[in-house]
This record gives sequence, structure tokens and C-alpha cells, in this order.
Amino acid sequence: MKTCKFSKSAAMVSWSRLLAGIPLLFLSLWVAPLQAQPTVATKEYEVKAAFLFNFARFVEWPTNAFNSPQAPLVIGILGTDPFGAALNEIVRGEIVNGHPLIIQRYRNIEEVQTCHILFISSSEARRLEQIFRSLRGKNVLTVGESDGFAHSGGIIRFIADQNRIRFRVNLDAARAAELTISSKLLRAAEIVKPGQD
Amino acid sequence: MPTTHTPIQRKLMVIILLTAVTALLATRTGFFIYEYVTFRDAVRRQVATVSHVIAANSSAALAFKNAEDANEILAALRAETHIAAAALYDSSGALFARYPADAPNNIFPSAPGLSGYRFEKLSVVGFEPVTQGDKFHGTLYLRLDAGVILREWLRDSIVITVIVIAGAFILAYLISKRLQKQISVPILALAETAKAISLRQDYTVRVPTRTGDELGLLTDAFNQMLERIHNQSLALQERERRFRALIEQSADAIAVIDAEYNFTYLSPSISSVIGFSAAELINSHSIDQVHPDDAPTVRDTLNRLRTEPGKPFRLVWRSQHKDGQWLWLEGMVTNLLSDPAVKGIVANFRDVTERIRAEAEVRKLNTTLEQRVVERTAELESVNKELESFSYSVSHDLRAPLRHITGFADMLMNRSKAKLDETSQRYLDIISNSAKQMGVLIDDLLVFSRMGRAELRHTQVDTAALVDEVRQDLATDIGSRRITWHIDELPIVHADRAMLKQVWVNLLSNAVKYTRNRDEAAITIRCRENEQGMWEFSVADNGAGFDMQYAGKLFGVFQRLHTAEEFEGTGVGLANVQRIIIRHGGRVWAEGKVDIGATFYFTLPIPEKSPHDNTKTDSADRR
Repeated sequence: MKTCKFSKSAAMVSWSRLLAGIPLLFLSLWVAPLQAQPTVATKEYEVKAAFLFNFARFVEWPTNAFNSPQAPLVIGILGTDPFGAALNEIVRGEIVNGHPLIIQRYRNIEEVQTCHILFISSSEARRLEQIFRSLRGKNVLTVGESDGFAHSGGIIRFIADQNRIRFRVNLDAARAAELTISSKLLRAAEIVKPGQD
Repeated sequence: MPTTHTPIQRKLMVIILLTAVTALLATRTGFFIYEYVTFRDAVRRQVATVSHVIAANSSAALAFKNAEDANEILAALRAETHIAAAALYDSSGALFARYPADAPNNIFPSAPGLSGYRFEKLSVVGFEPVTQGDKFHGTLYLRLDAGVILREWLRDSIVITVIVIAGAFILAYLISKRLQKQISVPILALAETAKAISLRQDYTVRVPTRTGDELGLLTDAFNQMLERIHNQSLALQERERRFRALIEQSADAIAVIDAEYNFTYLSPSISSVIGFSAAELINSHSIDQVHPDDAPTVRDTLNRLRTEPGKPFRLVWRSQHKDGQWLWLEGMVTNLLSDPAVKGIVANFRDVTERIRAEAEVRKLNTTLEQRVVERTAELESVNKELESFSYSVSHDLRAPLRHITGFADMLMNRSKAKLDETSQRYLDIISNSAKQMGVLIDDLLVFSRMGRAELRHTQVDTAALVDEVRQDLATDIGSRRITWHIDELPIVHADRAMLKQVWVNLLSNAVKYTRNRDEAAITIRCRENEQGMWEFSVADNGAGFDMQYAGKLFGVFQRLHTAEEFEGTGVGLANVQRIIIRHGGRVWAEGKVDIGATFYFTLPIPEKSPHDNTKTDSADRR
């Protein structure tokens, strides 16, 4: 439902969105040279970036996952960033349940501090076990695309199926991370059974 | 139930049933409209609900571009048989999923429209945005074929309506069939009675009263009306009998003739009047019964009374009795042609033959009588005149020998007084005196006869002066006597002075004469205006008086209450007084008591303008 008039709260939202955008701008200006350079994303990764963003809407985090109701929802990318600018564009100005979305990129798992959705790049496929261990007990929705990702403890794995992108969900891992995944998302997903993936 | 009774009952029934059905139809129509509106609303809400659920469920499928999932979600609409088509559009507006899965593209809108659901012809069509949180993922399109539902609903509605109305109709019929009797039965009873009355003219019939409502009142009123009609017709019959009896017992014959003067009614008494019976004369022409000499008058009167309806005309005519004798008839004829109760000219008449004959005789007698009276009066008048002139001439002629007797008796006395003895002298005196007395008598008679004949010469007469004059003339008679006079103020009157003087001379000389034996004579003259507006004079004395039982004789000629020895007189004076006063238009009378006195009254008319004020007379006592 779209509201046409600018109510007070709508105005505030746009302001806060603007304010949130300023540090992001600086951050990107500062951080960008240090971080791995965003490369030009393929069509596949544009879709995946959108999915990544959509996950934020179909997953519920426990309240203690946020410092405050207005605390940002952090989407982290660990390892090589395959999305290029696509993810930044999708996420720009978006707010989910009062949380502004921000993107953080990490070179290694140690850098991960507060993170809600962590895309674990294929570059980190060999270190998955270590990564999942260090994330244990944290409310992080792990998303990956390497083989056996979901099976080895990741929560959502992108899979390609006849030129379409699907995903597979490990409900046990989600439960372990105290995350509630919307049944609607589950409808669109494959559920990982033990021994699969 | 008799067929003649059916209409009102059927009318009542039809009214009740029509009313019931109309009311039901009206209610049902209102209800139908309400149902239709709520039904449409419900359908729309239902579609909205379904679309809500689908839209909510399909957000993930859209978000994650899972067309299979989306189609699967839409396929669940199979359960809703009336959903004709559904589709999901992605956020860019491209068709993403469809229902039915094999539906061609052209049944779906090429792009999503405004959100919300609305009726389009017989379908509910609408779009609903698919969101997750506040993120727009796409649009749901839904089309529900409401035609079938509407048809079903309409069919159910009509079936229910028909059943309800049919049930109500039957129920109303059963109820009204019983209840309408409360109204129809008393009305039918009334109608039955009214019919019976109009057929039999029997006003003694009564309708039984059953209810206390208006119908009961109507019945009561009807019964009362019958009662009154009954009473009135009885009274009318009674009155007609009475009038008929009056007419038929009447000695007068009563006839009614029409505008052509033919008899239309004749009372039975006609036969006792002219011998013909009513039956013999009815329808014959009335003028034919009239004597030919009277016919023009009768016809003329009838024509005249035609112009004056209601006015009675008196008419006398002759008609021939059955026995051939002519009768005089008299009657009153009245034009009642315009009176709706009569429509004729009414004549009531009787036989007046005897009366007419008697009248004619009386008239004849009267004319001869008058003739005779005139003749006799003329006779008497001439005889009277002859008598009067005879007595005048006799009186006149008697005076000459009398003068001779007295004259020669006196001369004899003077010449031979010494030669005559005393007895002869006494005889001679008696002769002389008797002759003188006879002279006086003759004079009086002459006066009396003159009074009757002489013409009155009216002048203004000062009564006071006249009375004074008379008293002067009486001075010798009074001589040395003591008389107390009391005289009122006396008026000027209009009279013949010489005659009026005679009156006063007579009255005053009488008063003086009859008080002769009184030591203290008193004579009072009074005058007043009496109740008839005349002067009333009176002369009262305390003289010898008279017995009232002879008062009538006082004013007759030669009538005397005293002997000549007691009081001299001829007995003509008061007769003269009466004659004069009557000729002046007055009246004279007297009152008296023996040895107490007498009062003589007379009246004179007061002229129009009596110069009473000029008659100031000294009212002091005069001697």
C-alpha cells in the first residue's frame, strides 16, 4: 500500500534515511580503497544481491541481535565480493523493520563484529568450518553458494537450477542461530535434509 | 352459501388478500434491494479477503522470482469455484504467474491497474499490491465471475419470495375467510332485511344486533330508522284518515279541477249539494255545470286566479240540481296547481239558495223601509212646521184679546172702583192678574218657539260681564234680600250672546227665586275645564232643592216640581236652557236635594284659541 501524502513519520523516515546515508557515503569513500574493489556484477549476482536483501524481510532476528530498535541491519560480505555495486544499489536507503541496511565487507572472519546477514563468498569455501565455529551462538544468517554449504552448517545456500536461482535452507542451522525464517520463504526454498547438499 | 351473498364476501377477501400480498411484496422488494446491496458488498469483501491471503502468500514467490511457487499458490484458487482468473505481476509490471495455468495472455490485463476491487458487469475485478513489510514485490490480479453467484442468489431469492408469498396468501386466505364473517355476516343480515322490507313494505322487521362495533351501531341505527319510518307511516295514515274524514264528512262539497277545468276530485258530499254523485261528474268539464248566465263570470274568475296562485277567490254561481232545480252555490276557489300535493284548483262550496232568497227579501224590505222613513220624516217635518207656525200665530193672536181683557179690566177698575163692592173689586183683580199671567205664559211660549227656530249668531261673549248684567236685571227681584254671591273667574266663550243671556237669566233667577225662604241665601257660580275639554259652568244655591228622582223632568216644557202657589213660573225656562245649550253643542244637567239646595251644570265647547287670559274678571264677592 503506497501512501501518497507525506506524513510526519514518512518525512522523518526519509530524513533518517538521508542521515544514515551520510556515514555510509563516507564509509564507502574511506573504506573502499582498503577493501577489495567491488567488481562489476553479473546478472546472476544482481539477482542474488536482490535475494540477499529480500532475506532481511523474510527472516526475524531475536531482539537482542540489535543494540537498539533503530540499530542498522548489517549485511556482511566475507571474502571476495561477487556483487560489485549491485548490492549497494539495492540496499541504498532501504529500511527493514526500522533498521537501516548497511553493507560491510570482511576479509576474514575475525573482522566480523556485528553482522546479521553474512554472505560467505566461494573464496572462503575451504574455511567454512572455522567460520561456522566462530559464528556459533551468534544470530547471523549465513548465506553461501559453495557446495555442501548448507549441509556443513550454513543456513541458506544459493543453487542454480535451469538458469534460475533457487535456494536451500538448513532449518537446524537457522534454529541454532535463533533465527525465524518465514514460511513464505520456506515455500520458495528447498529444505536441507541430513546427508543432502 | 347463497350466490347473492358472494360479492361482498369476495370483495372483502380480495381486499384482505391483495393488501397482504402487496404488503409482503413491498417488504420483500425492500429486503431484496437490501440483500442485493449487502450481497454485492459481501462478494467484494470475499474477493478482497481471498486476494489478501493470496497476495500475502505470494510475496516470497515474487521476491524470490519463484514462478512455480507463484503458480502453485494461484492454483489453490481452484477451491474458489467462482474465481475466473488470477494473475501475479512482478514489481516491474510483467505478468509473472497466472490462473488457470493454461489461460491465454489476452484474458489478463496487460499491466496492473489501481488497487481495490470493483464490479465490472457481472464480475468483480481488482488488483492488490503484494508486499513484504513495506517492500513492494508485485501485484495480484483477481477476477471473480459474479454472474453465477448472482444468478444463484437471485434464484434462491425468488424461490424464497414465492414460497413466502404463497404461504402468506394461503394463511391470509384461511384467516380472512374466518374473520371476514365478522363484517360480512351483519352486513348481509342488514341487506337481507332491507330487501325483505322493500319487497314486503313491512317496517316491523328488525335486524338482530350481534356486535358492539360500528356494524352494531349501523344495525341499531337501521333498526331505529325502521322504527321511526313505521311510526311515521302510522302517523301519516292516521292523519290522512283524519283529513279524509274531515273532507268527506264536511257539509261543503269539495272539488278539484285541473288546468283544463275538468273535475279530478269530488268529495262524497257533492251528492247532497247538487244531487249528482262524484262518479257521475268526475272528468267532466266543470263550466258545464254552471248556469249559462254565470259561466262568463266563473270562467273569468278562474282565469284570474290562475295568475295569483294560493289566493282564495270568492265565487257565487248557479248550478242545476239533478232534479232540474237551479241552485245558488257559493264557494272559495284557490289555485293550487303549483302545489305538488294537490296539482289542481280547489273549490269548496255550499248551497246558499235559501240565503240568497232571504237576502233578496231583506234587501227589498230595506229599500221600502227607507223609502217609508223618508216619507214619514218629511210628513212629520211639515206637520211640525205647521204646528209651530200655528202655535206661534195662535200665541201671537191670543195676545191682542188678552191685552184687551187686561186693559179694559184696568180701565173698569179705575172708572168704577168706588161703585163696586169689595167682592166685585176682588173678582176684577183676579181677572186682571190671570190675564197678565196668561200673557207671561204666551210670551214664554213665543220665546221657546223662537229659540228653536232662530239662527245662532256666534260672537265672543264675556261671561263675567254677562253674569254681571243679568245680576243687575235681577236687582228688583232681589230687593232687600241678603244674598252671598260667590263667582269664579269666568271665561270668554264663543256663543250667541242673546241666547246665552237667556240661559243665565233662567239659572240665576231660579237660584234667586228658590232661595227666597232663606235668611242667608248663598249662590255660587263656578267654571272649570272638564275632562272632555269643555267649559263646565255650575250655579249652586242653598234653596228649596229637589228630589233627584224627578231630575229627568226638570228640563221638560211645562214640567214643574213646585206648585205655582209655592214658586211662580211657567215651566218653560229650563226647557229653553236645555234647548239653547244643546244647540250650542253642550249639555245640561242638575243635582239637588230637597231643602238643601240645587246645582245646575252646563257645558260649552272651548273654541280652538280661547282668549281666556283676556277674561280677567274680578272674582271678589259682589253684593
